[in-house]
Amino acid sequence: MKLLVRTTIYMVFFNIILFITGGILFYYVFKSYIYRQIDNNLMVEMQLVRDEILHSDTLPDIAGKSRGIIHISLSDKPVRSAQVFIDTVLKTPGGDEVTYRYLKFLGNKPDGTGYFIGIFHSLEERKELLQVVTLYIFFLIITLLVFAVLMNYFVSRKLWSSFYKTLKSLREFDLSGMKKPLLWKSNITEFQELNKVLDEMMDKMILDFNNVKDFTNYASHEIRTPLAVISSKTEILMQAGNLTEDQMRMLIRIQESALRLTRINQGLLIISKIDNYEYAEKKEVFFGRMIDEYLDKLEDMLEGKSISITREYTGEPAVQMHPALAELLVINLLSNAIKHNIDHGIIEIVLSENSLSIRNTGSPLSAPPEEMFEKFRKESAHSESLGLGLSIVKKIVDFYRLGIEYTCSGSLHHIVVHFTSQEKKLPDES
Amino acid sequence: MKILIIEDERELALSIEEYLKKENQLCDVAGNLKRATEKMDEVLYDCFVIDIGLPDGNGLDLIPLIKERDSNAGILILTARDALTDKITSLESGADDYLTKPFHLSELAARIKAIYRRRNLGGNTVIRHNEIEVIIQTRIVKVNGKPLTLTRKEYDLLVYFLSNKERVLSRESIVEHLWGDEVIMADTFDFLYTHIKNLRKKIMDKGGRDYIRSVYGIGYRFTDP
Repeated sequence: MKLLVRTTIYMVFFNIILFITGGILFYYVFKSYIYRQIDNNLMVEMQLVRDEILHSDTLPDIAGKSRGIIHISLSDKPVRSAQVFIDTVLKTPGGDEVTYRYLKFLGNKPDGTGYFIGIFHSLEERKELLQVVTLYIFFLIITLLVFAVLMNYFVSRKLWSSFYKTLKSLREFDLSGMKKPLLWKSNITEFQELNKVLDEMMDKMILDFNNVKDFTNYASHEIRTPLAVISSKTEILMQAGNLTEDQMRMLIRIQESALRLTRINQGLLIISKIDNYEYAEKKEVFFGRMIDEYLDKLEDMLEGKSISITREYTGEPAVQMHPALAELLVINLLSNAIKHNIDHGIIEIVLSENSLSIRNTGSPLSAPPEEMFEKFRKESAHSESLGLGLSIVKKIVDFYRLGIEYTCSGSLHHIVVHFTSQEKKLPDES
Repeated sequence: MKILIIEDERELALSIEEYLKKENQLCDVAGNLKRATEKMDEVLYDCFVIDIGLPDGNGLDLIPLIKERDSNAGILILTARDALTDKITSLESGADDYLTKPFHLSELAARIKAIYRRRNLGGNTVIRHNEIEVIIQTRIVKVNGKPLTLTRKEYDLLVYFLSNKERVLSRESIVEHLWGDEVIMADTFDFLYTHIKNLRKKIMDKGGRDYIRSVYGIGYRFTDP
């Protein structure tokens, strides 16, 4: 859920609670105020009546003086003085029901006889007032609510815009492309701080990345000369005629290990160089020819394993790549298909304008095919396999923004490289 | 053949020198560009083995100087960097071939000889070893004057052996020479064995002697019986 939506929802929710409570409170306060007023009026009128009775000794003609209806009855005996407010409903001659506030009071005239008087004040007018006022208040609250929510929405949007700008810039951050986004200058302290921290983090990441890159490059290159010394010295040593079989075997192990180290080094170096955009050069490449050349070289080996190969070229993908990377892609895919194949297996290669599809027999995978693209991932027991081939393929595919699919059903493996997903804009040369 | 090895890693230079010297080839070693140019003024070399990364500069800078003195000299570049990019620059700058470190000395020897044949003898070379004759340009092999039909791999194998006579060649180095280093399988050595068996058989069928000895646990050696 977006931050803006969430704040708006909270805002609406709490405002509604606030306004409802406020509204109810207001209604009762206003209502009790109205009752108090009516009651006051009734008391004033009662006092008038009582005063007149005291002074004039007669029942006063107060009918004209009161705003309400007066009901008088007399008693011969004295009564106990009392007064009480009552809410009541009377029927008009028309049959309408009208609510009244009714003050009933009893008293004794100076002559000792009692009287009983009721003053009725209609509540209708007041009730109408209450209704109208309540309605106004209600509309006011609704308008306020709408304004408050809208205002909150726009203010929040304005305030958070710096945040979204930062977020958008961060998306452009590409470590390997060395593209550090320029963060939007915000005048809000918190966002300024956020940007500052992010900026420092990115600088640190770039620095670390460069350090690792330099280290990998340096280590890979520098490792080669000592390796060459090891390999050449063992070769010289092999020429000595007086070695025992055991010594010979040890020599061969040394040479094998040096060779293996060389290959690991080479593979990692290629991956790191692709990461570092060191293969920016682009040329037209011919996959069909590369496949033919490679298979030609391995013809005898394929024959020996009785692997039958079918090749079907319906077109050449119109992609521009670094020739070395294109070759690496083809070689790694094919050598993978050959290496992990079985005796009397098959390899089907279909090259079209859009894709290169290689289907081969092999042993079933024990892990999901996507994981095969991970570095040093080994499926088979081939100790000679370094587990770098497919991760190099993946690197190349990612570098040129091609698509790759690896599916495996039983013992049939199928890898397709899609050339169509290649975007017009290739990584910039940087 | 006179060879100048320009390589700053002394141990490696000595290994190369030792390996090549056994074939009665004259080898000199120079550790940097300055020493190399001095040597070049003293001796006329047929072939140069140049390391790209030298303490006082880029080894490729030597190529124009070499071409100035003797346009026919062969040049083989050694690189410690990644093969993909140096391959192009090396060949564009006029070198005949390149090798990425680490390499097999046997491979280096085979490459140097190939360059030498191409350069000095116009490719019209015949490698002769007793009754075996290999005509490089046409890829024809004769034993006792009788033509021998070899597959491409068998031919490559024979030339590789002839370039490294009397040397113990490890199976790894032969496999890399024949198939490159991309496909190394558990049964690769079996293929190599089959090829070697066939080659021996074909040579012996034509009345040749059995020159290829197997060196237990390591590989093979081409030697007079």
